[in-house]
Formats: sequence, C-alpha cells, structure tokens
Amino acid sequence: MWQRKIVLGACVLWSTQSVAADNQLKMNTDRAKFNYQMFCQGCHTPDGTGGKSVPKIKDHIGYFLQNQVAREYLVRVPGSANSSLNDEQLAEVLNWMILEFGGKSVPQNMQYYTTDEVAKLRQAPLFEVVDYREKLVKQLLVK
Amino acid sequence: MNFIDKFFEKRARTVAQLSNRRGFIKGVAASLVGASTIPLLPVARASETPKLPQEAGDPSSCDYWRYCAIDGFLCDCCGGSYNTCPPGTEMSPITWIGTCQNPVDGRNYVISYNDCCGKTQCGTCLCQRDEGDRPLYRSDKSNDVNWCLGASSSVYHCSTAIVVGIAFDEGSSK
Repeated sequence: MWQRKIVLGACVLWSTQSVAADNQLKMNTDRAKFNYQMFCQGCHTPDGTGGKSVPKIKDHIGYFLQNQVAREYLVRVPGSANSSLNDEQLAEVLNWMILEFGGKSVPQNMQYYTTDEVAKLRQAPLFEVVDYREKLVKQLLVK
Repeated sequence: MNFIDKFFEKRARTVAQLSNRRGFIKGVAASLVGASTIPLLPVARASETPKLPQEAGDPSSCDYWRYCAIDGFLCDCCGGSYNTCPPGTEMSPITWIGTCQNPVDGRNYVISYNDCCGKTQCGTCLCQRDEGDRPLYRSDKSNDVNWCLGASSSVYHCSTAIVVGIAFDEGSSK
C-alpha cells in the first residue's frame, strides 16, 4: 500500500512541476512598461482606465482569461495583433498589463501568454471589434 | 559626611517624585519618533535624485527639446504651459506618445502630447517638427489625428508635451 502512495505522490509532484515549468513568467518589467506607454497608453491611459469608447482595462482585463475565446481576443484585437511589437514583446506587455491593471479580475491560476501562443493567435486579427467584444462580455457576465 | 548623605538623599527623593520608571521608555520612544521625521525635512528631500529631467531651453519655442514630435500650437504661448492646458480648455486623455532626447542628460524620455480642447485654435506658436511621426495608417503614431476625439469637445486649441517616463534602452538593461 505504501508503495502505491509513493508512486502516486511522485506522479503528483511530477505533474505540478511540469505545469509550473510551462507557466513560468519571463518578463522585463521596464521594457514592458515602456512598450505599454509607447503603443497602448495613448488610448488606454496611464492607469488603464480608458475613456469614451476606449475599453476599461483596469480591474477588468483579467476577466478575459475565463475562457479560451476571450483569452484569444486580447491577442487578436487590432491594437495587439497589428502592433509593431514582436511576438515576445507582445506576450510580455499583455502579461504585464494583466498583472499591473487586472486587480481582482485576474484568476488565481492565471496562465501567462507565451511567445508561441501569441505568434499563432495574432495571425487571425479581428476586423470588427465592437460587436464581437460586446458578445464576449455578455458571455463572461453570464458565468 | 552627614551633609553629603542628606544632600544626595534629598536629590534622589526629588527625582523619584518628579519622574517614573516608564519615563525612560517614553523618552526613548519620543526620540525614535523624532528621528523618523528627519528624512522629511527639506534638507533630506533636496539630496534625493530628482524624478523630473533637468531642464534647458525655452518652452515657448519650437526648438524646446520636449517638442521634437509636435504638430500644433504650443499651449505655453496660449495661456497654459508645456504640461498644463489654458483656462477654459479640457485636456484630452487620449493622446499620442513618442520619445525625445533631453540635451541636458542625453537620455530619451517618453513624451505624451496631450491636446487641449474646447476652444477654437490658439493661433500662436505653430510648431511642426514631426520627428518619429508616422502616416495615418499607423494612427497610434501619427500626429495628424485630431486627438481631441477623447475629450468632450473635439475642437482643437493647443498641444502640451508631458514627460511620462524614461525610454527603455535594450542595450543598458543587459
């Protein structure tokens, strides 16, 4: 019986380590903040509050990690997908924005964006955003 | 001897009547609180590194270093300053952002060109330097956009140039 417990324990340990390895955050916060200022802040404002038709990031952006479609939206939105940032820097600035502005909206088990994930998702940029985002937010509110 | 004994006895009793055992702790606590206020004194503040860049040049001239990418009227000539709007106008929160090099320290700073809106064009100190300006298809990096679109009135009056950060230097970060 104790042998089975050791094997089970080893399996649990192995699986948590592999998740942690997949979800490690590589971030240069100075570069991320600068890229936010240069490519996002002009519309989203310094603290992510936004204004008029610019969506509010502050205390909201983390809700978009609740499901896969909403998660993809943050990369496929034109400001992200069409930006002049490379894939690594785009993943970095998205992770930085979520941690910096997300507040309580960020799930505890947040999975960070990776360079590969961003590279793939930005190949399908959204052309019509306003209605798409409205539907997404309604779905998130239902949950 | 008797005199000396009486003298010290009297002094000791006087001290005992006028003070208590916790007085020492009170004194130490007071001195700690007093010491904690020292960093707040002006002398200590003056020794800190200034967060804003050292300045040189005339903010009412197009050549002023913060205006390296400006396209519009200088608020400094219109009743405001390089970082405040003239009375009666509203600063648009939506803005375009670039970097300019400060000639004093040689560093690049992130500049936010917030437009002031709500009154007709100021009409004085028109500057067009456009360094780093991109065509309209790159709207987030174009100063030809009317950035008053973020204010309650879209009527453009003049432009500010506010330092919002220091540019990231990939070379010096490694």
